[in-house]
Amino acid sequence: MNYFLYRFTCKPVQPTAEILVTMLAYLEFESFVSTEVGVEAYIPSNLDSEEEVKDLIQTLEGEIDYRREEIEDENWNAQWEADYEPVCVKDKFRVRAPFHEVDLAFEHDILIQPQMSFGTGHHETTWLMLDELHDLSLNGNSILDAGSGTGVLAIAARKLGANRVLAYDIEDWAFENTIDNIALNEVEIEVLKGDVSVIGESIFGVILANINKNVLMSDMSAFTKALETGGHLVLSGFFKTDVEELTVAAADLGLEVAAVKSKNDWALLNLIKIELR
Amino acid sequence: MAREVSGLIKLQIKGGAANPSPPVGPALGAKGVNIMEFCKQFNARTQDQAGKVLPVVITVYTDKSFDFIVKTPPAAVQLLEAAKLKSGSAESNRQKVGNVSWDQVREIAESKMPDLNCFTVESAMKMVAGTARSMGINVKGKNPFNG
Repeated sequence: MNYFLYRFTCKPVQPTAEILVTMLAYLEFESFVSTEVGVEAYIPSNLDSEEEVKDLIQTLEGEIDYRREEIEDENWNAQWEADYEPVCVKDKFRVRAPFHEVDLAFEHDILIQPQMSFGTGHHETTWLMLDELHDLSLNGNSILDAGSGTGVLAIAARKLGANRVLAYDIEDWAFENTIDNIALNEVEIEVLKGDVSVIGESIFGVILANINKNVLMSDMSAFTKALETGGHLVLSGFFKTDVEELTVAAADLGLEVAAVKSKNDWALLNLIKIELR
Repeated sequence: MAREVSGLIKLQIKGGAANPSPPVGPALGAKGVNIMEFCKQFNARTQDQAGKVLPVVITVYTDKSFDFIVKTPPAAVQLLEAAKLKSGSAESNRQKVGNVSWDQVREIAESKMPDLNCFTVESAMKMVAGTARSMGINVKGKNPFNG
């Protein structure tokens, strides 16, 4: 997605720039960089309204001027992606880029060309998810990968024998990257763009969600509804210190803890949907 | 051996909302850092302050690793919260739209002391009170600086 960059000049610089940032945050501006003369502010181009910015400036104290330019979308992560190291999850998986040679010492080979999406296995949470996924029985199961990023978990699930795999992500670049990586791995996976509502009435035997605590807390009940009784909901993307809050919410929904695992500060929760009496 | 610093990056990002777009993407990407790794960590660490503007200082090392510290929100953000306002005054020059107490000003000043060029809490309080006035927020009660 393209962004608009507003380069603001403020007189006096402070507190004008600070107040400006505070107000721009209400106009959907996402991030800011302080400069010697004011501040640079960034907004996704589909949310930008220059009129609103002009109106806002009128109401603020101090002299505020700006220049506005559009920044074309590009893969800012290209430098890291160009020479990343493969990731090994015990002897279960090796996640590698197309420029790495295949290594037959591993049970499963996964090709990932990330293109600015999350999920190469370098992060503790992806590693934990792959490790846990490997030990679940996926044969014949229907699997959901919620917030798929690169699609690494969906691809792994398919390679482990899942019958049907559905992946979704709300971000444009993740949605497209999941599709690209599925093609690289020559597997069949259905991909949708959007949030949890895209799954409709589908029911899954295993749901995988490596997102963050806030999204998991708000989507947990939708995941539970879409899970077979006896099915697994495997969550990550949060810290060890968040486990208790998530576990309490899970218990209220009839989910029982099957396993809690951690790597450094990050944690994974494997939950089972129990029969409600 | 201590890691060698290759650069410091200072940004302000909404809590829980870092993504690989500009300015995060170009700033970190140019240094060869895995941007997605930063976003995941930043969003997890700031999830309880979702949507609030947070200053962050990222230290990038020559081995492409990084660490970062998240600071308290800018005084203006804290003032809006203290005054229980959704946004600042639309007519700040003419009309006051909210109130904070001097105790609240002191609290905000204390939380911002490490980031301000102030040697005393009193001078930080004066700065915060000045920001409040510019935003159309009245500082209520006896002014501790007037005798």
